Amino acid sequence: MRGSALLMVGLGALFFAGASDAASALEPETREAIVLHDRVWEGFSYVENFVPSETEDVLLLADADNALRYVKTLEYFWPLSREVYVAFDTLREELPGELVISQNGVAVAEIGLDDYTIVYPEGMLGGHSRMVWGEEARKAFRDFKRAMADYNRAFAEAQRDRSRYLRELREAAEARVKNGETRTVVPPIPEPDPVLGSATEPRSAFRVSLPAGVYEIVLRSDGQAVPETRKTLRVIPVSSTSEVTADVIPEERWTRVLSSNQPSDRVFVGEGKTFYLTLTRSNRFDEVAYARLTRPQALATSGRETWIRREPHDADTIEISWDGGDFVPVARSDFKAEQTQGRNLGYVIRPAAEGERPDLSAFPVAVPLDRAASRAVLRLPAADGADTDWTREIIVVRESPPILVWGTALVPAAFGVGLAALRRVRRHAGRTTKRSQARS
Amino acid sequence: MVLAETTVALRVARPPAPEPAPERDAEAEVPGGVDRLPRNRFGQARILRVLVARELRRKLSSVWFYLVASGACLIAAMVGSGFVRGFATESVLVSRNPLAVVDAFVLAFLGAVLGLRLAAAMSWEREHGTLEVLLSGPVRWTTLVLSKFAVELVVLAVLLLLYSAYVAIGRPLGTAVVDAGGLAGLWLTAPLVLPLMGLGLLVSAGLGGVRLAVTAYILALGFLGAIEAATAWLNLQSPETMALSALYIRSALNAAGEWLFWLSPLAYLGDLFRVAAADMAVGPERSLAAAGLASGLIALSVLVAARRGVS
Repeated sequence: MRGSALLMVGLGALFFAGASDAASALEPETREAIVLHDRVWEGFSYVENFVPSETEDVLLLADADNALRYVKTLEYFWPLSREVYVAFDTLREELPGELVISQNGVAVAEIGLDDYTIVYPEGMLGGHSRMVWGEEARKAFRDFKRAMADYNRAFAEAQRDRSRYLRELREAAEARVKNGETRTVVPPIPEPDPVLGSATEPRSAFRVSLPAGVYEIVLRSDGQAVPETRKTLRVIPVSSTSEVTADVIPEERWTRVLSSNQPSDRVFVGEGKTFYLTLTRSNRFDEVAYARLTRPQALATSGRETWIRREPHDADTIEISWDGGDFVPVARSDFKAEQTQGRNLGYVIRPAAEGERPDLSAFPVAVPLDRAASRAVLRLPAADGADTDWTREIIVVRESPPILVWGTALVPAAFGVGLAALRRVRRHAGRTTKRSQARS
Repeated sequence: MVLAETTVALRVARPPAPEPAPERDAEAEVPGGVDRLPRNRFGQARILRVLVARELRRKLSSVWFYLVASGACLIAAMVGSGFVRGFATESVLVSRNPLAVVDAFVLAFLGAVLGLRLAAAMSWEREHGTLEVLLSGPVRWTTLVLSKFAVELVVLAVLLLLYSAYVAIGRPLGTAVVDAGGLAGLWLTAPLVLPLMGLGLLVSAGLGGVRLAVTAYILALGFLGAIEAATAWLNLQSPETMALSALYIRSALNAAGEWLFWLSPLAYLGDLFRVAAADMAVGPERSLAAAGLASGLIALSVLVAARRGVS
């Protein structure tokens, strides 16, 4: 709604401003504005975003550290994407002051600026991250810089030693060719292990971590509220921190995966078919909330949930029970999708051979060609052998006899027509009786 | 004609024993009237029961009822066979309830048919002058309007029962696909068609001729449907590729949509397809809102009918 309002304002401005000259149509008009430049926790990692000046709502996840900073910058509407952008490289003036947070008119917190950094213990692509503040942040960044410097030094030393090794190797070879002299060449020192961990450069921001609720925030400087900094802060709980979602891979379309996110999802499958199942750890969000959390100007469908997939589940075995029978294990296996020979399109999915790079690591589920098999339940046992909440129902689809499908559908009509015909016959018989009585 | 017969039936159905004292409302009785049934609350409840029972007997014994029931089953057979045919080329489908799509078509069909019948209900009585006859008796506007809706409500319930029986016996989606949980979904979503029936009643309450009422009802549905379709279509477009005028219209429709979401009978019908397409369940708040809107439309129908009068 706020996004729509902003869009309308932008569109209205474009309508009424008109194309006064060609240059203004090419270069969007910028204006000075105060925006919020944030690093927000999205349930798994930190994302950077900004909240335009005319967007009133700011969304955060509950009970997690977030960094908020008011910044004066140049803001402009970009018609190609219909979004508001900022020119931080042209103007970026971080506003000083305290962040005042109130709820129902009562101040609940006054927060001063502090340094923060985001630490990625497994590297920026590893996913996991945490936000640290104050001295710990500065130390984390110093440690990271030191680790990088040590690595660079060790790497440079290893490179130098390798050059020495190559030089000595060449000299030894030449000496051997020249006078048969045998020299011992000391192998080079190994290159250092790369620094996996990473930390961002410390920045100054307001540290906000609140329980779920609706708050009001404003920047206060020199005892006065700074104009255009008042916003509504909506802090929402994470619906679920670690849901297990499944992806169903049909054997005939292994690149077109079917998602099965909800426990109420059922897998309908033809008899004699096989499908492959992979499990993922995911977070569940309201679609609008997640979109606004990560991209405050994003449009999304309300009333719908979205699952954000995080990392593959580490389970090696799931269990299956057909028609209420005993659960039997299904092991995760590696598969290779192999193109069929010849000019025709086609492929087969086969178990990957030893040492072969697999295309797919999944649980194969084969539906028996048995008329009796109609339903199955898949479940994920916990590491300690106990049951987990994750289950999926499999239903085997078999066509009903057409006479049953179409014939039964026509039964009410046949009954109605029969009823009407019977009534007509009775009425006719009654009239005939009356007439014969009248005659007699 | 129907209610004229009903009036006669009321006279016949009058109990021979005198009414119990607390139920009588001497002032409300028609003085020297053709019928001495009380006009108080308890009496009206009995009249309502008689009106509903009488008209229901007629409806359930007419051919159209069974044709509509078969129509609903044939819709299920067609949509269901499409589902089964899909497995000729696809081996797997993930869905919460594939019956929801079939239910959506069937409920939309039944809602439209029963709404149309309700649109003709009061206007037929008015056109044929039978309202005057009936209201000169002990029947109040509220009872009359309620009876019209209640009859179609029961008809809807019986049609849904027949449809449920068909799904369980005929298995149009294939064997083992539908279970009790899937069938329960039908009854949870059924309240979403009530506003459509309420709209039919409202149109009927305010208009004097069957043809006029049916035309007005179809036009109202067409107008609301066009808004729904245009909003859905514009929302599917990417903002980057849309003209500014289209974006303006989209924003305006979305702003209006926030009201129409709760007030348009078509929005509730659209919910049936939306949730079926998105494989979601209808929330209880939507079913309650649909029932609330239908109640509001019935109350409005009573006011409109009383204001319009018998002619």
